[in-house]
Amino acid sequence: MVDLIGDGSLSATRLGEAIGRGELKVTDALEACFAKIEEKEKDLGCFITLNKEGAFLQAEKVQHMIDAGRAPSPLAGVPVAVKDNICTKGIRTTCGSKMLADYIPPYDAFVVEQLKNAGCILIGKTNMDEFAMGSATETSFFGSCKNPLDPEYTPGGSSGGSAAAVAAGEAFAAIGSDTGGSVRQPAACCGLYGLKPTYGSVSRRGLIAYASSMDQIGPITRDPEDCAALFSLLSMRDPEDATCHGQMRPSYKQLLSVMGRVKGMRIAILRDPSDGKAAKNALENLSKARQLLSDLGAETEEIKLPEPENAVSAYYTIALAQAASNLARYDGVAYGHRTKEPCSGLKEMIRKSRTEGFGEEVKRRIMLGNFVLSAEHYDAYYRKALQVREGLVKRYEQLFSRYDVILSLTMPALPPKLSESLRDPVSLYRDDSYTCIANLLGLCSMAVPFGSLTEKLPGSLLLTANRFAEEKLFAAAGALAGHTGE
Amino acid sequence: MTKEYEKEQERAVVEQIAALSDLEVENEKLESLTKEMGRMLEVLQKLSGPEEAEAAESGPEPAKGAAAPDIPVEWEERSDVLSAGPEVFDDRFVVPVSLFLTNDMEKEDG
Amino acid sequence: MNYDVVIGLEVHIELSCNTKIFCRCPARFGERPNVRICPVCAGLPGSLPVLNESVLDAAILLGLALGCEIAPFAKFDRKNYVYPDNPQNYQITQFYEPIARKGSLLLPSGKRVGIHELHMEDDAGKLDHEALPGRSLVDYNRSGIPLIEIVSEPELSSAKEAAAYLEQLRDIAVYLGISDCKMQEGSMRADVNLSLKEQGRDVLGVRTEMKNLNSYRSVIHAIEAETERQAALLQAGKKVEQQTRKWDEKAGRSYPMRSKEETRDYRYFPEPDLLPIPIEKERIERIRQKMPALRTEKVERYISEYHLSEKDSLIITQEKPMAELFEKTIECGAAPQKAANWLMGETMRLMRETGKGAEDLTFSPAHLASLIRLTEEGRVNSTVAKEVFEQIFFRDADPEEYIREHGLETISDGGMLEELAKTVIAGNPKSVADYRGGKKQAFGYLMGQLMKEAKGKADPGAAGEALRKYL
Repeated sequence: MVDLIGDGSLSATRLGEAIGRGELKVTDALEACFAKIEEKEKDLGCFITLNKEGAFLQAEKVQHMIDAGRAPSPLAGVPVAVKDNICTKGIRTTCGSKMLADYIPPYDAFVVEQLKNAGCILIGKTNMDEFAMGSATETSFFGSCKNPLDPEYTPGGSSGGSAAAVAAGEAFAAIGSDTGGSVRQPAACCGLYGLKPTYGSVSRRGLIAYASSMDQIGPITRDPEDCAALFSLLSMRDPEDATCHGQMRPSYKQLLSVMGRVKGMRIAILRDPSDGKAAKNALENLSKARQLLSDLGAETEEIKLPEPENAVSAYYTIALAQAASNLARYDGVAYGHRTKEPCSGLKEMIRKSRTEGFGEEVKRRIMLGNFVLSAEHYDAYYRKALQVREGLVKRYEQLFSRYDVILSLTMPALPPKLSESLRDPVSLYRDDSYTCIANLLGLCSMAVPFGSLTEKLPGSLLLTANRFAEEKLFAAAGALAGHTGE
Repeated sequence: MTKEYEKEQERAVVEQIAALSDLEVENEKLESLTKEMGRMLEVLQKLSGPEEAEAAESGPEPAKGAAAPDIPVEWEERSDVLSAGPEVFDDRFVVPVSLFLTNDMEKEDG
Repeated sequence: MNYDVVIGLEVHIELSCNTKIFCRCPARFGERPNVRICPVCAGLPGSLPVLNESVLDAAILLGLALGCEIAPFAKFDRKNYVYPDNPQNYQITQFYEPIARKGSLLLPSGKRVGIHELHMEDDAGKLDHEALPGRSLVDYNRSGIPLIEIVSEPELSSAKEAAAYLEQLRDIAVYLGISDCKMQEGSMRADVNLSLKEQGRDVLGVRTEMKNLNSYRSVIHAIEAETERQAALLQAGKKVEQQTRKWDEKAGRSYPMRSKEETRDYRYFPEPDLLPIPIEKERIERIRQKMPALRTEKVERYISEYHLSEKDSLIITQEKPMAELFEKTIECGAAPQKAANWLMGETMRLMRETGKGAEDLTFSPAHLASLIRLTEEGRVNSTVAKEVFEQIFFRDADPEEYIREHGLETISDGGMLEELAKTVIAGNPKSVADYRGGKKQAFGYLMGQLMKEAKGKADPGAAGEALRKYL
């Protein structure tokens, strides 16, 4: 059993079951993770902060509960990694930035409270692109992260550390945040499942904001069952987040029961990437998946996405504008990095602190965000983007009246290679083109591993469904994972 | 000649936006920054479409917000909020500010 | 060249809710710095605002009282600017769609002033520039306190009118129970927009904005000074610069705040953390039904129902708690004019002496009503009544009990008075002789002596009769 932990194939839910049955102790799982961390961290860089002491303390408490027959959830005792833009009380939360390198939040994010209540063990805070801005985890102040499956590549981003930790066996599951693809794309790069729930499903309280109307927290897991378990755990109503709609969400059992049930489902196949750069293998994976679903009774039809370039532009305009405003608070006054240079007054202190504390990509995005919000440009950019978004909402409503799920590649090309993104930052914007539409419109979307891309790198497909239709994602994901829905 | 002028214009805009963002840009970096921002802007400029009417109302049922009851809840760990700061005096955050406010900045309230 | 003064007022009132506008911190004051804070109002990373429902209701209530149209949704926007009293470096306000629009306010002069709009927003923290040399201190206790801003149309034409507008607005807010509107304490703040218009022409002049007006007096002085300043500039052929000016009451003048190059770009955009809240007709109606009576309504009622004079009605309604006390005293059976007299007379005298405000009064209206009844029945005379009232004022004494314990009931028993009269006459032969000799003043002296014997409790009429009988 202990070997299984080590090779990274044991899922979180199976581990939870084993612990619940008494076959394993919580500390066994923890020790396996920390052993892996000891072995691989210096090469991979998945974590920014480890919580070893805290984790073992928590493990003791949870073990007591399990021994007393009061296991708080099926995931009790499972070691979980949390992206470093999610506040953890008393544990440094940096957003991958010098600006918050020493920041210790005085409160736990809602999702962290949920994980703790479920008995999950927080083993550490994972590496990420600075303030979630990037798709390769290379803009992190704490150094880049390597893809455990092929070290020449990055694990994607911005939740790269979370994905890499799970793929490397350093954690059994992880949570990240997804603003334009930042959970799904790293999951794709590392052969994992990554879910971006419907906007407003998971409370953003304690998630350090990037784009408020598009950020969502989601699980990164080894199998769809884990994804379902974490999703149902995290999508509880939180009255302290006004955008958290509090609608009844499907339970873990409900999601398990629909996996593989694709008979009669109408699946739209998005074949044509906007720039024709998709790898040959990737398109083959897509065809195979289509065939598989068809064999299971789904109806499939090829479509073209409405206005993809418009969607990307609207997405970036809105994201950058909101980011510029959300990051305005980092001024060194009450927390965060404050310059040590002598300053003649307040304005200078703020400017210097921000200039020193933020990396280049973040600074560029803040400036661009302020540009589109500035008085002369607001109508032509931000207001226009909001209108475009509303128009797309309608187009996609029509689309989802004809189809249940859209199936596409998760990324148009291979994962970014190390240092590629730093040489040409703008090139990475194209990577968001499949994933960002779900963020823009608040839809739910899941990356599922399927086939392979190269010898070492796995393939990934993206499932997207309408708001509140996560069951359809799990049905299709289950089918692609081999469930037949019987 | 016009190209040089355009570049000047662009750099001026970048400097203005940097000031609006409370960021400093070193002179040597200004040129490359302007170029990069120009490229990013190209992505945004692809925004197109007919003028939709007041967006929010014309879409599908907009998500409805809710309000909270007026019941006080004390935040107990307020000292932790303060301890997050770089410098605290007499339970207040400290900032270096010129005492003569009228030139440097102003108070928004009365 | 003659000019008309064109004034618009932007007034901020602090709402007296239990909690702040976007978090559940208690909205109390007078505490040590940074005690009433939480991650939301301190702008910590990851914090999110949630609207306090009572703020929404207060805004709708005020909007209705000012005859405004209420918006179908409560929508918020971010106003982005960097300043250390503003922890997120943006304010959450309502720019694109204020909660209420197009109302009006009637001045006592009969002039109706348009209300352009009113909206909800959060207050900023406080800076202290004095406590530490060369540095400033930030206190977030006030950050997130709910504010309503009321913007008038530029239809006020004098300092006096501006002051009257503020007083009316204050009365309305106080009587609605949403704010105590005390300028000196900062729960009501006014900014003045002023420009001069050439008489006979329609073109408005360049306007300036004045801030830091902490009293009605400041408002009046500032308007007068700014009118003079602008007029002087225009007469000299110079231009008025559009600027924000800070008023200095001590110096009696204003200073420009922002330099003219720096006009701020607030980059307003819809607040993504707060989804629009639909405002149903039912909510508006419910609020309208429960609207408390405004001061003007009470004054009318006191005049028509209780036959008080307008002057008395205005005095009684100057402070809402006084008006409430008045009404409750009547409910306990007191005659309205008598109740009014006691409140305007003795009560306000003691208030002045002790420095208490109407909201500090703790005695029960039932006791005041009881005292009034005692005087009507003649069971206490006016001197005793005043003494009893002090007991009511300071200790909320029950007058019946008190006069019984201290034996203060008026002596009107003829026999007893006659005895006392005899004693006085016997004891003051000179005065008696004077009186019988024709000096009428001596009677007064003898009355005084009789009162003294009676320990002040004699009924003056009966006492006089008794004296006369034996003189």
